[in-house]
Amino acid sequence: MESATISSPPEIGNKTIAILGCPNTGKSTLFNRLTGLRQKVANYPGVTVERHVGKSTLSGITHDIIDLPGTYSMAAESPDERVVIDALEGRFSDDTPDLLLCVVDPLQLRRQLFLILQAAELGIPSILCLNFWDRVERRKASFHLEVLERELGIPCIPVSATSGKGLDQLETAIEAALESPSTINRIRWSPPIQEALEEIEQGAEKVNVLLNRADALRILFDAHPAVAARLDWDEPYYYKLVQDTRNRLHQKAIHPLAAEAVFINKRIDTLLKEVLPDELGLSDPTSKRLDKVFTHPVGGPILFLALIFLVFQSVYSWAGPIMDLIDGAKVWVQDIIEPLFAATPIVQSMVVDGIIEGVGSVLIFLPQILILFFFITVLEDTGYMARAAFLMDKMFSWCGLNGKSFVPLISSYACAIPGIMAARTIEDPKSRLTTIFVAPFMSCSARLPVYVLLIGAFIEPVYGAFWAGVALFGMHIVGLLIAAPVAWFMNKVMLKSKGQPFLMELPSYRFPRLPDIGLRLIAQGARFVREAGTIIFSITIVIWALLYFPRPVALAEQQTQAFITELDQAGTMTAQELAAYLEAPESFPELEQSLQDRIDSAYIEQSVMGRLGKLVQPVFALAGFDWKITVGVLSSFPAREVIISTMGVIYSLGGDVDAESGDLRAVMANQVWPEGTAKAGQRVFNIPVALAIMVFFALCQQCGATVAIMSRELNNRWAFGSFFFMTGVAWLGAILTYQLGMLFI
Amino acid sequence: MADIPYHLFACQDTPALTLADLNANESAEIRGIDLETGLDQRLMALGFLPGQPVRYLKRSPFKDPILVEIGSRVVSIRKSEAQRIVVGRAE
Repeated sequence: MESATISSPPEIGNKTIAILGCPNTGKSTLFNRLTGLRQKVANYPGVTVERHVGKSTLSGITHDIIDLPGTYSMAAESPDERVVIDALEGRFSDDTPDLLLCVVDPLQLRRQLFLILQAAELGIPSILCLNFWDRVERRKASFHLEVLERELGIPCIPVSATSGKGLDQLETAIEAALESPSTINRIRWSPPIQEALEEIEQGAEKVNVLLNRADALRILFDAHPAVAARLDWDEPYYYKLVQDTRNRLHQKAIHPLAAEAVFINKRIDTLLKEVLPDELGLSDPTSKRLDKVFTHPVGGPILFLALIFLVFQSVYSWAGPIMDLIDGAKVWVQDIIEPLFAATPIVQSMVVDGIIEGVGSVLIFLPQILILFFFITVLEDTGYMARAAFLMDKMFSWCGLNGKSFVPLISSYACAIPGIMAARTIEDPKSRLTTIFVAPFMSCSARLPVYVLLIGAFIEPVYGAFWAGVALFGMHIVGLLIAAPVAWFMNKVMLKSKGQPFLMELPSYRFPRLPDIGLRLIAQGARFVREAGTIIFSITIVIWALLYFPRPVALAEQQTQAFITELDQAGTMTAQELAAYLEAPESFPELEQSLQDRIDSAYIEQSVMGRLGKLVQPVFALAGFDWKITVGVLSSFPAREVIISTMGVIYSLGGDVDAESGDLRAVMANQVWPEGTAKAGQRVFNIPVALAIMVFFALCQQCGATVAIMSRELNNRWAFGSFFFMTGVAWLGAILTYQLGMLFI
Repeated sequence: MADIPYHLFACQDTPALTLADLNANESAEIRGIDLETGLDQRLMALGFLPGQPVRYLKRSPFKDPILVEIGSRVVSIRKSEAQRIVVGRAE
């Protein structure tokens, strides 16, 4: 090497460093400390496990940092665990990491070394990072770091990621380890296990499958070895090989399923006797005191309900003004943009009613998502969420869910989107799937305007405020009543879940770190806008087009003519007034508005959506819907709250009506079935119809953003499955409601 | 990939005392785990291993799940799982 220019990257450029550790070890804090804002959240290919990657610059060289999902063991049971193995073995696009940063809580070493010693078999250069070191110092525990270093064979660095203490030493150690790597001393397996591993490796070699030691261990020890499915070999051959090897182990009185745990724990036992002699005296006294209160048989649930109530109050009261602000901003932008495209009505309508409306309908969800996620992050980071799950588990276990479903489901009462996103905290994939599937049945706040409109128009005037309140409550319960048996059916029949064990550690309570919460909110928010945004946005454009086209100019002229003729015949205006109006229509804004509404309404009637409404109406005839209600229902599939403004347009009141609008209520009440229909002359809206519409909206998946988020969190099949299933349930529910209503009311 | 059947593990003296049978705040030692599926590996990874001391802390207000202390950590476990952990009272 003669002349290396300063700009040329040195030899050790751009390495990949993976952070491995159990949950609650402060991994994310450490990751945030190392990467700061240079991080992003995505999904691992094919699974719904979050992939946190970021960049960190050490001495001028930028390295990739991967924060692996927190997991207790490498036995690949959950998607998280599978991702950890696959990432560590380089099965995703990136290579095997160059350095493994193993994070442990020094006071939980016994349990957490288990994962580290499993990972040792991979032979990846490693560093052990002992986070929460301040706790060791505070308890004045005698922790023999040098023994741990000697026994494990890798550098062991104490840090406190929360305060930042020890991070410099950690960074120095990372750089040193990248230059002169060392690997963790492996377990010395007993001869029978050693032989069994070799048997499996040789058996694999015979069919040209190359196994490393870590894979062989997983195949020998795991009940459902995920790695086996990744390798290309004959199933019966594999089955026999593993079965024979395990039988031989069994004959030597070694249980293959327990052997690994027994061996690793024996090793940890001897190790800890030297490293942390007074281990048992170290349980957290503060956590114990707090748990006396938070898991108290009476006080616990009361505190929990109070807390959840507080959270939702805040979500409602804080998000409301911001949502109004976003809505106001949307209208403001629309007003500014509208005149700019006055020359081309198609572009104008597409930009104003399609694009800006679409963007607005995505952004409007952000405040609720961020506020709810703020609380969820705080509850999780403090360690309270595990207590809540413990308290609530019994109420969910009967239908195959577990205590962790509570927060996602109750969140869905505000909005299913943050609710579904919150379901990520559920480890068991089947429970998570079921929770997400039933979440949209919870009556979200976007359904409220529909209830308010219809109850206000048809139930309150007849039965009074008390029954109006009962109806509103009923609408919020009907989804829950459907969701419970659906969850039960999905778990017991479709997924054949045998009731997954609900094992959960209650971590020590701790103070959350504000930057961690902030970074998580930014990442989640950005992700929602990027991924759900694109889908809901395109659906909105499609619905706009269906409501806009075709648009023959002749129709407007025809409607104007009819309007003037009617004005003339009505005789409410003098001839002079009429002439003045025809001369200068703009000076009669009210007349102009009603003419415009009439034209809009006529356009909708003959638009693709209008025709579709008439075509589909027979499907809803049993529920008592006419074609106008059907158009309202169809066009609110991207976002249910759209129904109010669509109804406004259809009933020629303009799009700017809201749920409290007296005009809309009056017009709806006066609608009659037209000549030539079976119910000619009868009113369209009666109480059974109003109830049927509300039940339809309560049960239907009319939310593009929810479908989008479901497809991201699960997959397209479940997302569309949910869409069609809920639409079907809603349809049946509406028919049942109408028919029963006609019998009894 | 088909599941591979397992046999019982260190669970001879039935009817045995299980973790679910302990009284509040009672300590015991794990004698064995009735192994059925791979999910027991999670139990073992959590530290539920023969020879380990374990303490029943309390049950949830709705009677299930229960809180147990294993080593220096607190774990929530459903009764149905606790019933598969055979324990012996400390002498």
